[in-house]
Amino acid sequence: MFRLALSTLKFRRASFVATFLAMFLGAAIVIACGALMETGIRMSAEPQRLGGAPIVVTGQQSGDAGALTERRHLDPKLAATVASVPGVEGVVPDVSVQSAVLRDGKAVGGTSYGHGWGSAGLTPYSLSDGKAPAGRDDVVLDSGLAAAAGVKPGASVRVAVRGVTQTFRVTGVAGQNGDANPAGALFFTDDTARRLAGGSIDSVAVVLAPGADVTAVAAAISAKVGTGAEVLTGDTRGLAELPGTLASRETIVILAAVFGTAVVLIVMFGVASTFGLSLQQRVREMALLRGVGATPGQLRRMIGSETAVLSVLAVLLALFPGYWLGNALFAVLSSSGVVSSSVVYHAGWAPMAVGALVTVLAAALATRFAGRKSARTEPVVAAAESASEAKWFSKWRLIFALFFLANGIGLAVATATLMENGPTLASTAGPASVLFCIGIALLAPGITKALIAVLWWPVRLLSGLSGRLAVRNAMTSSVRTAGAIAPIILLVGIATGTLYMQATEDTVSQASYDRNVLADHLLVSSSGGFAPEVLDRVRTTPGVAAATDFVTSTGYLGGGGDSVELRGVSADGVARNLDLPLVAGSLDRLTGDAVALSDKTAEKQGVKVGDRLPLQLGDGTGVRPTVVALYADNPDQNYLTLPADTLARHTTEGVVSQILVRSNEGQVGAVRDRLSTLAAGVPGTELVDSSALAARNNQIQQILASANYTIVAMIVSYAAITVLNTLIAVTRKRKAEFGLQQLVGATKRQVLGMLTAEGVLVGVVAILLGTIASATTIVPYSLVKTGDWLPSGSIGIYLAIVAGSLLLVFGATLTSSWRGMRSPAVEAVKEG
Amino acid sequence: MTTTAIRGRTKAVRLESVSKTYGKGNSQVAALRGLSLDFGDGTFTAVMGPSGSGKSTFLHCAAGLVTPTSGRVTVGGIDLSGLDSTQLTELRRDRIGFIFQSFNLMPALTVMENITLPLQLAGKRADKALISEVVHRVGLADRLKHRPSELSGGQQQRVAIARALVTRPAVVFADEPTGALDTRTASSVLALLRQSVNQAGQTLVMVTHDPVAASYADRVVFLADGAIAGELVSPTADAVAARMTRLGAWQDDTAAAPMRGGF
Repeated sequence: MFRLALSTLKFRRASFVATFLAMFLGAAIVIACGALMETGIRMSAEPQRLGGAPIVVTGQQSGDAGALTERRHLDPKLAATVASVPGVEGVVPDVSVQSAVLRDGKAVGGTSYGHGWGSAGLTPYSLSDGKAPAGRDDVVLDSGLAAAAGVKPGASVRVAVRGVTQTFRVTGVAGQNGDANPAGALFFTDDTARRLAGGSIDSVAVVLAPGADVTAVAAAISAKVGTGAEVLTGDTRGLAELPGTLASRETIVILAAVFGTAVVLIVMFGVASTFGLSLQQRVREMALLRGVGATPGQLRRMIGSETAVLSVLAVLLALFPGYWLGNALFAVLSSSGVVSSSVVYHAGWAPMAVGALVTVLAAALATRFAGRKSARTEPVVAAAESASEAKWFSKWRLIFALFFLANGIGLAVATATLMENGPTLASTAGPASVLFCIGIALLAPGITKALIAVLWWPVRLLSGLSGRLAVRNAMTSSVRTAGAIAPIILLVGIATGTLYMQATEDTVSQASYDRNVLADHLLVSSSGGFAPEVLDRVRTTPGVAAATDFVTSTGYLGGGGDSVELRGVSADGVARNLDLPLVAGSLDRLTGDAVALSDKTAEKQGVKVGDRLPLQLGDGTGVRPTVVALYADNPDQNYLTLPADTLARHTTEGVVSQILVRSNEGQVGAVRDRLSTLAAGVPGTELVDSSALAARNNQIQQILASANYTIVAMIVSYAAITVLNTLIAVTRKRKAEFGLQQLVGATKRQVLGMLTAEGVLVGVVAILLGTIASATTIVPYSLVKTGDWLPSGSIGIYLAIVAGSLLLVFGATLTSSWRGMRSPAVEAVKEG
Repeated sequence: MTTTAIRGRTKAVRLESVSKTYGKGNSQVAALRGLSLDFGDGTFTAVMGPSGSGKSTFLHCAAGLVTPTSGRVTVGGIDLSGLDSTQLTELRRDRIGFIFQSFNLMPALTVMENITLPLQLAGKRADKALISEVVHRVGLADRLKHRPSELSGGQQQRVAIARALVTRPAVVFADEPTGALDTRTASSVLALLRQSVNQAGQTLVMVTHDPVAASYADRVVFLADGAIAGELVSPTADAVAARMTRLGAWQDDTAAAPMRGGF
């Protein structure tokens, strides 16, 4: 049967193109997802500044509950512990502290960090002029910063660190060999650097004794430092310089998994529909084989072999495009900020093999489904010489369809009634329309027939002969029509559902963020934070009603529970800058070891005012602050509030870098002027409108949105290709029919007119069904989010989807039939 | 040859009061009404009748492609009524050869591959001597590497005949084998069929409209309304044509019908 399959593949090359494309593109996308997943799981980043150290010990960036978003700092004493391990020749305790070199009171030279001179040799930086820092006020600038500041060795330079401006003496200028470190660098003495960083260290870079084995020494260090610190080697060392990167690992892995699963389903659908069409074309051939003695089992094996050959070929050819696509996808994710751009794209043999295997299996399963009927073709068909319309309805089809429809509706109802408004809402709302779409697609032949019966009169009235012919064709070959309609339903359903869900989410979250912030102005430090007295100066500015420090971070509830957003605020300014309707306690007591939270979260955690709330902060520190206040729950803005100075200490930067300001009634303009004067006096400070806050702090939302859009775009383009594929295959198949029509006197125009009318029918029916399916996602989601039946977002999205689908339908049908009619009608009839 | 002595003694195909009705209720149509027919080993029988006489249904029932509503069919001594669909397929593969009006060759396969297809489907080793004998008999020895689309209609039908003979079936059913051929090509194909009966003792049952084609048979059986309407042994074309005209006269509505097969 294998040889027969090969001959058939070779002979019918053209009719397998559609299936091949479906497999090839699907395999490429699945492999890309696999590669993305491997990248996420490995999560390695090339070292930047510490490249000279074969081993780097850094704070463990994952806690019990998950990855940490802030750097876990290390005790300086750990350096001595590491140094005592045999095989270690030297250690460099490393710190990075954001520092701004000032020229005439303004920060110059872009984002730059201060380090100890001891780490300079690891990049390596070498002095091009002057000498190393020796005293507590000495500094060496890298050549870029020195040029930007316009200083030479011997001059003095003002540097702002953590809001405090100090004068340093430039002792030297160092050049970087290579370009591993993308940021500007200042080198203080090791002691000064550590003092500026607040006493703790970021990492310990290890230099090995000659002949020492990296793996062995790393293991020895690991055993010595115990928990809380992580020993990195090879190309994971970069993670030490990019704390928080690990937090994006989960996002990538989940994205890749969700996306990959969806694609596998859609690939199966695409392969089944294109392969099913090519099998329909071969009904006579199958009947003939049965006639000369092939058993259904043999036909199944033949069909199976065809797919096997085709899918293996498709997958092999897809390996490289898959690698490339994964890289492109990863580039999109890193440019949108989902992952750090220093993370290395990894695509080894594993994702290739898994992706390939999954695609081949999906294709086999799809073929099994599509080929079932063909294998059971009755031999009589050959004798009777009639390739009659295939019967589509079966018990199993109905059961599957009802299963998908019931689950889709079930999810929709659950979303509307059971689910709480929150980040998990999309997890039930999203799949509802996909399941519903598949259910409808399975029943498409029947539904199509019914809908076309309804459209019978209007079409007849509007379009004359071509319309009547079109309706006849669509009715009598409803299985074929449904084959064209099913992928469009999927395209319209998924695109409309997901895009409007995202649009609603965007609108609601932007609006709720804006409503939650009562402040008028926002002061932002771009030079590493504000000194504590800046808040006092803002507060005493005439016309300012209230001001508060503002720190954002992410922690975990209950030591190892759900991820939760954290906001650091000042007790005396928070009430008028953030909309937190008080339920119990008082926000004035939000100082020191205190926390305030929503009444609902408190209820879930089983705490009330006066109790202690176990909490893990962004850097992994476990705390048990006292609950001092409860405020009314806001599902779209669910966060805990802590004192700003407490929270800031547990962030990577360690300082407050935003201040919210609320003006007195009618003094917004005056306050703005006074604050901008104030900002001019504090180096690296910017005054912006408070509406910019959402964009600055709601980044996770935006990042997820962009990732979501990328994924929808990929799924939609795959569905679009399936639509094209299917329509072209269907039209090609009808070449004989068109030839026959021409022979009995139809002009090309008339044939094309009939096809246009058919296209309108197909388009209208598919868009109608797709829209109904998308409603199972959109309506419950909007109901929960906004209380409205209709989603937010422009009607333009829907119009674009509709226009795009119609364009696909007409483009594919008309061009392929036009091409088909170029050969003489007599030939076309024969070929059929 | 000794085959001549036993020719016709055992029955390759036997139909015993076979009835077949299609449809249900009011729309019920009886295609065969208690048809009983025997086809002896090594005989060449033509089955004739006007459109709608039940020729096709007879052929499908006799070949195990369609299960009769009642009655019994035996092929090579095996009762078909007790067999399931796989067993029927295997029986067809081993015992029955088919020749169709439209040749029904696999376009993807070469002539040789088409001829040996039934053997491959049966998982049997090809008997090289037999194949080469059959190939020579049908006169295709120099065309084995061609595809069906590169052959003339007569040549394609010869491939189909070779394919039907290559399994040494108990019986070969031919459904209007010359229907798509011109007169000259038709007579050479018929001669080839006759030759396979004479020389190899092949049993052959042919459904046809063409009195000339029927004249190549040992016997002609006439069907009308799903039952036997007469028989002619050692027929001539003229005698057959005369009988057909009379059959046409009994059935006014089909007299002018185009000469095409069908249910």
